[in-house]
Amino acid sequence: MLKTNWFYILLSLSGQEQHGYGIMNDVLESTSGQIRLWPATLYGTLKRLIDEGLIEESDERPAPELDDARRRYYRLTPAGKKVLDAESERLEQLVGILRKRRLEAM
Amino acid sequence: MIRFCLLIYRRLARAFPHEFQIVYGTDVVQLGEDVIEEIARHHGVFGLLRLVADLAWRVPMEYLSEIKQDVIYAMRTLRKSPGIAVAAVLSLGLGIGVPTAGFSEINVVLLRDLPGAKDPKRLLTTEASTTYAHYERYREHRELFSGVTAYVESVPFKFEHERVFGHLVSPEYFEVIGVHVPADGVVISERFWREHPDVLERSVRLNGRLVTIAGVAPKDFLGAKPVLPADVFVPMSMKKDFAPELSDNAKAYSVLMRLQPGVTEKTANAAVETIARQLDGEGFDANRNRKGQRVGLLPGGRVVPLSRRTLPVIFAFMGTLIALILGIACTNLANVLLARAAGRGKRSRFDWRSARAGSG
Repeated sequence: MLKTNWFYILLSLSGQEQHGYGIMNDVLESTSGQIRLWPATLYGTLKRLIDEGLIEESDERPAPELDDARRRYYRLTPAGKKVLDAESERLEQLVGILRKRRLEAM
Repeated sequence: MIRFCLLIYRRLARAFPHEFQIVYGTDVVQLGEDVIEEIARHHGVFGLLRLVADLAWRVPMEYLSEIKQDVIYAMRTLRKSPGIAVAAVLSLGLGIGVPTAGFSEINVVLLRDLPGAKDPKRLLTTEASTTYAHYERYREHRELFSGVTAYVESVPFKFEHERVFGHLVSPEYFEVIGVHVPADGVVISERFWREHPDVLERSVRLNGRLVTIAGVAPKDFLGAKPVLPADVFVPMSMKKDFAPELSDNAKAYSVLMRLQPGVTEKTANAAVETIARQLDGEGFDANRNRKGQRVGLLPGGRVVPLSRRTLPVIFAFMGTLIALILGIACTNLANVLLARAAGRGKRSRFDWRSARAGSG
């Protein structure tokens, strides 16, 4: 089972490469403001994810008009994609079981 | 408020471990600066506190994480070479364990206050045993001492059929030390009472004479000089029965005095010296120490009464000894590691030559 913070960060990087600030905002928006990754926690988690080989720093920069030169960009590694897929599948299964139980109860 | 939080935030961010600091330190600070106003708008003061608390929590977590990584790396390295691991653990274990045990002993014996004593810093004791007359004369000086007691240490008694050591004590003994003992008469130590729980307020044979055990001293109290522990405290009034050979003129009495408030050790020393000189003139002769002083006073509220000048010498000696032991342990470990490195060097040269010979 993946830690919540790890999952949200991997999810945020699944669509595109992001910098720390972008990940923070993305998670905040996608959870309707319910989950905020505070700066120190965010970078601590990014470090763990890099150590585990699930994400990596990206050398490629976005188009100059979109690029923020001060920031570092991160992207998923193939291992990170696999872990994200496996966790998503597990959660889908859980939701499926839950829905089935509710329908049975009704 | 925002500026204050930012100040603390920046300071805290500097406390991250070096490795994390280099890679992420700037990013953490920058992100904090970028979001702090938005956090203040949405979450108010609690949001700002949360931002700082998050950082304060992560700093020790990062240290723990680095320690964990170091330990894992060390375990892997040691597993690869168990001989070196055993040598390293033994060297460091002995190097750290022996000084620690030494210091623990010093702490217990030299630095600890007299167990059970009240305000032990105000207690002084005579350097050498003296006569009963000296004790009586010191006792008269109420302007210097709030209480003075004399005791004879390491007196052997036969308790029923068992040999125990105790003190012959003057009436003020427990009061001067500040130990509460419920009754007058023969008192036993708490540890002795635990071994003989049925003797309290009962007649027992002490040196063949029937005496009643009147009370038990508090836990851990083993007399005014615990290095020579006492389990039985017999009043000086019973001296004729238990030590008839001990005259008042014998230099066998240790004296313990409690300073009056405001009286310094130096003043007491000078006064006691004057009293001893007077007694010299009256035909008494207190033990003289090397400086020609008649009576020297030592801090009496310690497990071992040592002069304040002796302690630094002991610490310097112990410090040197510990530095030497640690030095030997580290040198030993360094030798082991150097030997391993040298061995590897030889192997790699050998491999390189054989590889070259093979390719030729």
